Amino acid sequence: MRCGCDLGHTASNVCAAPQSVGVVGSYIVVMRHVDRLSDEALLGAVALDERDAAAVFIRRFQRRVYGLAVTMTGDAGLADDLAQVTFERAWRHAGTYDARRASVATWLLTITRNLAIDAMRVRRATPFDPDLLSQLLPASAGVDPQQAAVEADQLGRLGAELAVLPIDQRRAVLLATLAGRTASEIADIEGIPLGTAKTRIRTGLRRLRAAMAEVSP
Amino acid sequence: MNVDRPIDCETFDAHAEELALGQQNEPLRGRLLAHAALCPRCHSLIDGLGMVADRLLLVAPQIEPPADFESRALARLGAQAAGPTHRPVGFRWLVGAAAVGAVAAASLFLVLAPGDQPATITTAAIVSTAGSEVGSAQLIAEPVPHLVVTIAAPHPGPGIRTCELRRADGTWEEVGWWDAADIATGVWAVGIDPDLLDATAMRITSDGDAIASATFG
Repeated sequence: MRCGCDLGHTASNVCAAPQSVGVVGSYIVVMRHVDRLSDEALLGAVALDERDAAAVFIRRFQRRVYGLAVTMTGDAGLADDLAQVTFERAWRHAGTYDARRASVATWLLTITRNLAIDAMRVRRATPFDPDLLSQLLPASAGVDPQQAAVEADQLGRLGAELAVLPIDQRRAVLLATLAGRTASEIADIEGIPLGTAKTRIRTGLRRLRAAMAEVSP
Repeated sequence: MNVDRPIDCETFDAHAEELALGQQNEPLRGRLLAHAALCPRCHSLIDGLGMVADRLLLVAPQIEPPADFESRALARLGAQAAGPTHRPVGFRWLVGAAAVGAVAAASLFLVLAPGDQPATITTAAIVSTAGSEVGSAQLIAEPVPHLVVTIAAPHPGPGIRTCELRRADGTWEEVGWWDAADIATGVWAVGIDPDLLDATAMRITSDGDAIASATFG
């Protein structure tokens, strides 16, 4: 059984736009439009060992992954290594992705974060860049407005609540999450007692959690 | 801390932020997670804090990696793929028979833009008539309504697999089909009418006989 058109498609959905595709076989149809796949479907194609999909996946997320690695480690060389390993891990474990838990971007960035934390345990000591925080919020200049809109949508209520957190809590939360700094390191950076640093992280994170809980079903 | 004493909620509370941030070391990390697994209150707490910590990673600045980043990453994946055990054993089932089957794309892929994120997702496990889980089905609302079906464990034998969604009124509507000879396992997607996002169930038939189903929840 074939779908009835003269292109030999073997799945009904492929035949939905045969004229605009104009190729024979579902495989080629997919690969010609892989750059238009949603993040989730793209990751599915990566899981199936599609090389073109892997290339698009890397191209789509490399700035995010490398950006987080640089932010956390402050070392371009190490960040490059971590970003490379991130994509390898993503490729190896694409089948474990659960869309109910997180977006593909978030899932990928958690891999980067965990790698960075492990790396920093071994070679801590990169001095903290005092300009880092000012780069984090608001969105840095040069970000594509469309991309910024996507990010705002993904952050949703969390982004709004982050923006209104007291500045000391916001700094502590961002240093802990994006810069991978421990409470002890944040105490040193901010010149505050350890207990105060812990309280700021705790209060900030729990306030954000409460905000997210309000919008979750 | 006495490592023999079970973790209580108060102790968990004191370490929850470090755990959510990925900064907690073993063996305490394992003990905290073991407590959370049995305590609904602490499970909910760490679930929420972890989601916040993960999602905040999206705020990290995006930075262009070195020019050859993509080619090096692809070469790395290629070298891995050429190895004898390039994926964890538990993952082989997903790619095994699908290497040549690939993904069948729907017309929906023609309208998705890079970076599009599915905002509303309903996921259900696909269970065979024998009672085993064989994949997953996802109803995704944005950017266009579509159904994504992942078949991990294929139904044996050839045949046309027809996919149907059940409306709230109990009626079934066919949304597409594929030929098992071409696509045994993999990710299959199709655009659907917006009102089918409220579908209560999905079923797959093979030449008229039901072989698997999923209930949305």
